[in-house]
Amino acid sequence: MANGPPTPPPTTDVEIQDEARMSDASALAAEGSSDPAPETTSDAAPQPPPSPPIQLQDPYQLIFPRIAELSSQKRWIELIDIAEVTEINASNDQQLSRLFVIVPLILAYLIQNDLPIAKLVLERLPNDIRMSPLISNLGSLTKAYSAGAYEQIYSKANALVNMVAQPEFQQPELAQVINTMVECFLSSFRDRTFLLLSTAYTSMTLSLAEMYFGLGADELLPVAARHGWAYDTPTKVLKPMPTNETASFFAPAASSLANFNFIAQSVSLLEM
Amino acid sequence: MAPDSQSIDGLVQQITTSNNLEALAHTLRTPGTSGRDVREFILASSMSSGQDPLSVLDLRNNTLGVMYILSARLNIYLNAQSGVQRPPWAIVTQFCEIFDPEQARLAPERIVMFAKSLTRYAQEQGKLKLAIPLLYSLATRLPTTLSTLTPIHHILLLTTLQARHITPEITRLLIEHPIDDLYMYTNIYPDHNLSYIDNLVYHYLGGVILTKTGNYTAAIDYFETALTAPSTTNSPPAGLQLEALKKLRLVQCIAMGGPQPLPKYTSPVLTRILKSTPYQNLINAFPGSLHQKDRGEGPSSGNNRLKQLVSKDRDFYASECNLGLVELLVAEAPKWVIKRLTETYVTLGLAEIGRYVGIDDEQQVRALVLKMIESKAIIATISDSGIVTFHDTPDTADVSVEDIRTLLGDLPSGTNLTKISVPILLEAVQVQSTHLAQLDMGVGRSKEFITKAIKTGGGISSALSFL
Repeated sequence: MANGPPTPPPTTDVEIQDEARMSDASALAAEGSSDPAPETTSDAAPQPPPSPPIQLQDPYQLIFPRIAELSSQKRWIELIDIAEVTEINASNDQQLSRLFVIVPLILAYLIQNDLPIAKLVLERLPNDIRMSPLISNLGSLTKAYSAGAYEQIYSKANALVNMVAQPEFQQPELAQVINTMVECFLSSFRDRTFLLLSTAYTSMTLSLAEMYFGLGADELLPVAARHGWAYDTPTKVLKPMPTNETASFFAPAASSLANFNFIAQSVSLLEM
Repeated sequence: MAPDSQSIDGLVQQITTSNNLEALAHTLRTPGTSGRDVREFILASSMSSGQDPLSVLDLRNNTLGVMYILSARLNIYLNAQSGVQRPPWAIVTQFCEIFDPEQARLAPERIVMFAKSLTRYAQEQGKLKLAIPLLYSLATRLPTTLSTLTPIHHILLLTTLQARHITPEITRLLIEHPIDDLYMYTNIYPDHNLSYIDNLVYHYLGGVILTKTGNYTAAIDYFETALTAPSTTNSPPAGLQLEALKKLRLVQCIAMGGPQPLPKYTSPVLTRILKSTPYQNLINAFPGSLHQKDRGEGPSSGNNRLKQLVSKDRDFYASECNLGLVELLVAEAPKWVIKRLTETYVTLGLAEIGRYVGIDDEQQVRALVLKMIESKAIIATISDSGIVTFHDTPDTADVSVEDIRTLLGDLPSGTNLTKISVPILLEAVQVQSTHLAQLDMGVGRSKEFITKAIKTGGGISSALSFL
């Protein structure tokens, strides 16, 4: 586990420390769960300290800078690895700072189009974290994605971005990461949608296309034109051009002697 | 035996100074004159100086000794709680991370004992999830290959499910390393041996986890293995096998459209019992099932029938913890209706399709068709007027990329899997056939096979039928 957070040095009285941490954390979890309430009210009531005071060994906050770094470099697989290791090794997973790891993790799974495990991550969460507005927003985005409800996907993604843009949301670094990742998600999602529609539709109305891409006509048409989609202005109908996906298996164009030897050898082995 | 194997100090000294691991293993294993329970107590005690023996021993180099002490301490602490100093969790974690597998293999039953105790320990602390990486490390590093089943494997899966913490790591282990070997060892104390139930539980739970992660093909394999696990002759199949059959049928409907024929060596008792449960009616009503009587008889009547059957027995399914799967089955049913339609129609309007599957909203039907095109369940195109045109599958056998991925093993990074050239594929096939040939030779060499072959007069097929 080379990427995991540093293991606390073994002490003879780890037991006492454990108990102290556990009682601390349960008090903080109670405190932390009152935080979502101020975030949802829009009146400018004085805010209680948003994140619990950083404990000495809060693995979630410790690993977050690394996660932020990986997200800016768009290295999703490594981000997922680190987040999963942190998740499974954290002894106190009731605290709200878990959001620092969970939200990027789920977004990374969505970017990678790995939907079942994104849902399983949501299922892992204890109730009070699941009720936090950030997670419930993320949850509805995941649900929309799973149902293939295009309009909802775009609206939920926008809702998420808007939520972290509010002044009440007090973690600017997390907001930054969320913004980056939602943007990447939308762009990879649009790419996938583009490929799908090119093969699935022979022609579609402009309004339908706008729904699928969550973009207005003026943004959509140039992109479509660049990919060779024909647009018929009077009837407002787009004709997608199927992108040339080569066949799954192909023999190498120029067959060399080495290939021939190899194939001949394999055939003789098979006929053993 | 030297007299100092009766005290912890003596044992620690032997552990640290011994050059011959085999002899050490023998010393540790045989309790000698004092008997097994006393030896466990000795192993679990502190040294005469009051020091913790674990602080004296090196976790990696003295793996064998540490194993004995840790397992004894945890066991006694959990069972008897008689003043034994509980090993700190940090030590347990560290040991699992860095233990030496070679030494561990000299006394595998202690590792198994240790695995079981540490799970209980984690549970009592309320941190069951923390046991998962430790069990994973133990289960994967103890045997020589990743595809070998140990008694720890099913504990790993059970803990994963109980802690509700499924990770991609576990899923990868299940998919890429299906079991093809058993980790057997002779053990004087039989409670920690690999048993028939371990195999059953592992494959059943493996199927459950894979179903949750959406890997239906692999899940089906695991359920089939659990279902057809060999037991002693004339004993009835286990209840767990019936559960595996139920889930197998449900997943087959979801992923393949209907129940598939079972392997020939499945116990007929199980199919007979299943026929008398509501599951059988449910499966028969599923659109892809062969028993489907109303082919195009009444559009959407099949779907309604499914929903009726489910609502009738809802509580029953919930009590069997299959309600989620059943509801997923109902949700997937329209897809198989559409798949059926491709056999009859070349073009069909969205509204028409909607009428067949019982969905009124055309947008929903459109989304459904699009999803099916995306998952390559059908090949079709939609026009702007809402007409769906079904196309024939091309001649090339459309093997999914995912199936090939496991066969190809470790590809050089960056290989684009959509363009696999023939030599790579041939090589993969060759590797598989040599592996098969080796397994064949292994079977042919095995003592039971040869004795049976001789008994039946040399007929290979008749000897095989005994196995």
